[in-house]
Amino acid sequence: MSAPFPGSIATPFTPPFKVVRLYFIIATITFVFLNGLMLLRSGYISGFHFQPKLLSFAHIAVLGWATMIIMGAMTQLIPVILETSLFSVRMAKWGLWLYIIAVMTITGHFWFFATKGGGMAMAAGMLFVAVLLFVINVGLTLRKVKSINITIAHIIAAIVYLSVVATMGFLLGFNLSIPFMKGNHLHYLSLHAALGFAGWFAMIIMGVSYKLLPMFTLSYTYKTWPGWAAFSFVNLGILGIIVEFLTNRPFYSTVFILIGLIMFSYQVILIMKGRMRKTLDIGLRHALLSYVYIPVAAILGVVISLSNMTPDMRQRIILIYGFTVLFGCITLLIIGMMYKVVPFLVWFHKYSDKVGKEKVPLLKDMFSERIGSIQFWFINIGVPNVMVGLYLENQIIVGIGLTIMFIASLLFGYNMFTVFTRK
Amino acid sequence: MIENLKNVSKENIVDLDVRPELDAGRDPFNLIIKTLANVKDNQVLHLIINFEPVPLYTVMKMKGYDHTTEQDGGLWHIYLYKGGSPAPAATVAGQGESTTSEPKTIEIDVRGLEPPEPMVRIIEMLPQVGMNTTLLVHHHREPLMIYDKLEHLGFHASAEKISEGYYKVRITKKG
Repeated sequence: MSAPFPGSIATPFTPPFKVVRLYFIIATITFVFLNGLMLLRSGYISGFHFQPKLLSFAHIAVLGWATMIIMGAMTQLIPVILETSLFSVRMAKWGLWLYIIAVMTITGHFWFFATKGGGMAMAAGMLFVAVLLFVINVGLTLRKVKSINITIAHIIAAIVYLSVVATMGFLLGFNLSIPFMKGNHLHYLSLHAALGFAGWFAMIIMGVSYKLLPMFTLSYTYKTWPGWAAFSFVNLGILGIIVEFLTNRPFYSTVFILIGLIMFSYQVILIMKGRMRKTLDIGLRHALLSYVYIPVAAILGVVISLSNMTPDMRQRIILIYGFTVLFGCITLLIIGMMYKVVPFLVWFHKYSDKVGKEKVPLLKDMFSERIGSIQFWFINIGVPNVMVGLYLENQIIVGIGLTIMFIASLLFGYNMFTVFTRK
Repeated sequence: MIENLKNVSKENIVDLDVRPELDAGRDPFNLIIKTLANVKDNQVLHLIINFEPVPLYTVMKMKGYDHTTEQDGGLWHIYLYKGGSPAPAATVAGQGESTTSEPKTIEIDVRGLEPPEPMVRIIEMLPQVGMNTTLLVHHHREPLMIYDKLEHLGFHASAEKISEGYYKVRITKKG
């Protein structure tokens, strides 16, 4: 017999919905805020990537939106994936508040580039502690695991990379306040970013996809070797990035990562081919589109690392690359998964005890699928629009793209608001 | 099999106090399962806990354990021991307490339905499930989220895996 589902064994032990809900609500608000801010200050999205406003945008996106959602999702999903309960719910709850304060402080310091005094170092330290709390909580939960499967392998790798990225981020932030690093700050920054994208985000995206896609599409019989191949190649690539960083010799690491992510795409195709539930709802459509952006981003990574471009063109491609990873790959997948997970969690929390006693809403009554569809197309036009604008260095095209994306973020925010406030 | 708890000698009772585990904020479930694995078939696991772990009964029933519960103030003593058949569906039909009507089976197929639709359909069928009726649900996975709900509503459930993506779930009313 398979191990029982911990969510049903004892309600006192499952992560309380109100804790997980908080992560989702705050991250969604951040997402709308971020899109609004980028639109209002779109002029800053150009030129060299190491500048205060871009650092701020990037960190609001990766910390306030993507990582916060992932933390909330992990709090909910790790008990499902590992079939054990979270090490500490209290840690997840209070860690979130520290994390929110830290993210606000650090992105504020980036925005005004407030490197005088110890503020930046303090913010970086606070953020480091908040991330560490999450890492420890997940790490101690993982200790209960008896056998490793593909998703757990990815989560372990992701958590290790997150620790490294957070440590480097702390040192970089500290260095901006009180310089102590020998060598070029930007050299360290590129490693911090590369490990964040290829380590933390890629591992989480792949690992969680292997669990949720089959669950949502009812797919059971497919080969899993491409998934393990993807895991090996991407990790080899990350190892290569570290070797390149230490020795300054080319290792073709981005090529390994590209091969790995193509294997991942192949694994997704195999899962989708074997699915029993054929309909592609709003959530799955978002997710599948994100899987299209992933190889695109990987190709851009190869171009940046291996081709001889003019410094100006190189800067443009770096911006497009960062934008594609954040809004093509990560944001689309998050929105898709939120459409699948959040309405169900809210429904289960509010109505499952009332079934058979009174009339309860259907899942599809929880939010407007029509608004979701409109939002899907807005984001699908907005993201490539900004990419083209960045390539042409045309502020008007970038501005139009960001306007469309801002409307999309409002529609998404509205849909989530409807779900959370449903009586 | 244990006929009477009173006849079990002291050395055949394994005590497990899960309150320290709960105080530390941990889920005692894994500890219970781990301890249970070391409890022999002729032994009894004596669980000490500060609330009644109703959902645990369902899981234990599925594993083939019966239980006896004693409440002492704010303390609960749960005695878990190897019981009869782990499939309550078979036992209910065989008991023949209400021989006035023939045992009958209602079937529903919820395979492929989006959650929470399978749960809603199952719960809405329950009023038709009487003492002599089995609700046979064809499901695409083991519906773990519904077990403790059924327990609270006074029903037993047991799932049988037929193949990947196909489970037969039998639901019966508790006697």
